[in-house]
Amino acid sequence: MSAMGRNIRTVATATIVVLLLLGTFWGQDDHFPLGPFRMYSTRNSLEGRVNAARLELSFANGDVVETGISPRSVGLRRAEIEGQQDRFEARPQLLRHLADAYESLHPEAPPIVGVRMLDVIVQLRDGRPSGEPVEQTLATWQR
Amino acid sequence: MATLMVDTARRWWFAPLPVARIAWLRTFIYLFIFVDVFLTTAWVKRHGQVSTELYDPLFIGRTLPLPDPTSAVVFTTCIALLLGAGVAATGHWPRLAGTAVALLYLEWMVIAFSYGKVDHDRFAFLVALFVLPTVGRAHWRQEDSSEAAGWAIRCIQVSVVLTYFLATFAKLRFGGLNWATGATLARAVVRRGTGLADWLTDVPALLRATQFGIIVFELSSPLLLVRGRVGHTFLTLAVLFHVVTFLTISIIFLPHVVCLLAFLPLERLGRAPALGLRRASVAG
Repeated sequence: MSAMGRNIRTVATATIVVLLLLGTFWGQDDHFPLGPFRMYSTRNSLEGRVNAARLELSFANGDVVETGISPRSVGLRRAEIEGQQDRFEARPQLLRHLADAYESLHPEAPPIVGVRMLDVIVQLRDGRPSGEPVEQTLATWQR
Repeated sequence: MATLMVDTARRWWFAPLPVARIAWLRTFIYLFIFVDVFLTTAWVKRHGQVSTELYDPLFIGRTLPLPDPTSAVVFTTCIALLLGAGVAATGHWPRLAGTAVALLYLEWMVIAFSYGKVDHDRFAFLVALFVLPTVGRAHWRQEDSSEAAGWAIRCIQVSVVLTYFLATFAKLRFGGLNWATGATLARAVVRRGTGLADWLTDVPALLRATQFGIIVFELSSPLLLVRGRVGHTFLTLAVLFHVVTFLTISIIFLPHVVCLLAFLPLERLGRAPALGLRRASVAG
C-alpha cells in the first residue's frame, strides 16, 4: 500500500472514531449513524409504567376496530408512531395520514372516518406487571 | 508513549489479512441486502406509502440535499440499491458497485429512520459497506494477503466491538449508573415478549441479573479482537446473546450479526473442494 493510501485510511479511521465518541457522549439519535448506541439504554423504574400505543379505527360502515400499529396496518412501526407521539398529540389531524396509509394498504376495507390513538398502560410493581392494563386516549381525529 | 501506542495500533490495523476473506464478506454482505430489503427490514419500503408530512429527517437528511421519500423516490432507491448489490455480490466492479451500494444503503437508512425511530444495529454494516470497496478486486480462492484487506477487515471488527462497548456508556448516560437495577428488560418483555419469554416477568430478579450480565458482556467486547481461544469464545458468546435476545424479545440485530463474519477465517471456504470454484489467478 502506498504511503498516501495508508495516510488517508488512518485519517478516515481516526475521524470516524472521534465522531463516534462525540456521538456517544454528546450526540442523539438524530446524528445517525454516529449517534449514541442507545438501544434499551433508558432505565425503567421497578414501580413504573410500561406503555404501548394502539390505534382504534372507525369505518364508514359503522365498524370500530382496534388494531396494532405495524408496517402492514399503517405503514409505520409502533416505535415510530410512539417516537412522533408528541406531534400527533399536538396536531391530531396528522392521524389522517395513518387513515390514508391504512386505506392504501387495505383497498378492500371500507373508508375510514375516524382514528383514535391510545396508550395501553401496564403498571409495574417490584419489576413485574400487576393489575389490568389501562387505556388512555392520546389523540383523536374525524374525517 | 503515545507514539508507541499509535504505532502499535497502526501496525495491528494494517497487518495483512487474506484478500479472499474480502471476497467472501462481499458476497455475504451484498446478498444480505436482499434479505434485509425483502425480509428482515421490509418495513422500510412501506414508508413510501406514508405521507411525507410524517417524514422527520435525521441530521444527515437535513444537511444533504436528499429528496423527500415519496413512493417514487423509495421505489427508485430500492431498485437501484438491489441492482448495485447484485452486481457487487458477483465481485465485478467492486469499487464502483460497492461505493454505489454504500451510498444508496445510507439513503435507504435515512428513509428508514426518519419517521420517529432510529435502530442501532447498522453502524458496523454501514462501515462494512464503505470499506469493502476500498480493497479492489478480490477472488474467493485468492491466496495472498494485503494491507488493504487487513485494514478493511479491522474496520469492520472494531465497529462491531464499538457497537457493544459504547452501548454501555449510552446506558450510563441515558439510564444512569443504576441502569442494571431497573426494569428495562421487564418493559421489553411486556411490550414484545415471545411466548418463550412470558415467564420471565414473574422472575424480575433474573431479568435484573441479566442486565448486569449485559454490561459485563459489553465492556468485555474488546476481547473479540484477541486471537485464539479468547476471541473465539467471545464470538460464540456474542452469537448466543443475539440468539437468546431473538427468542425472548424477537429482536435480532441482523445487519450487525452478519458483520460478525469478519471475525471468521472465511478464506478457508475457498479452499473447500466441494464448492468447485475455479482456481483464481492472483488478481490485481
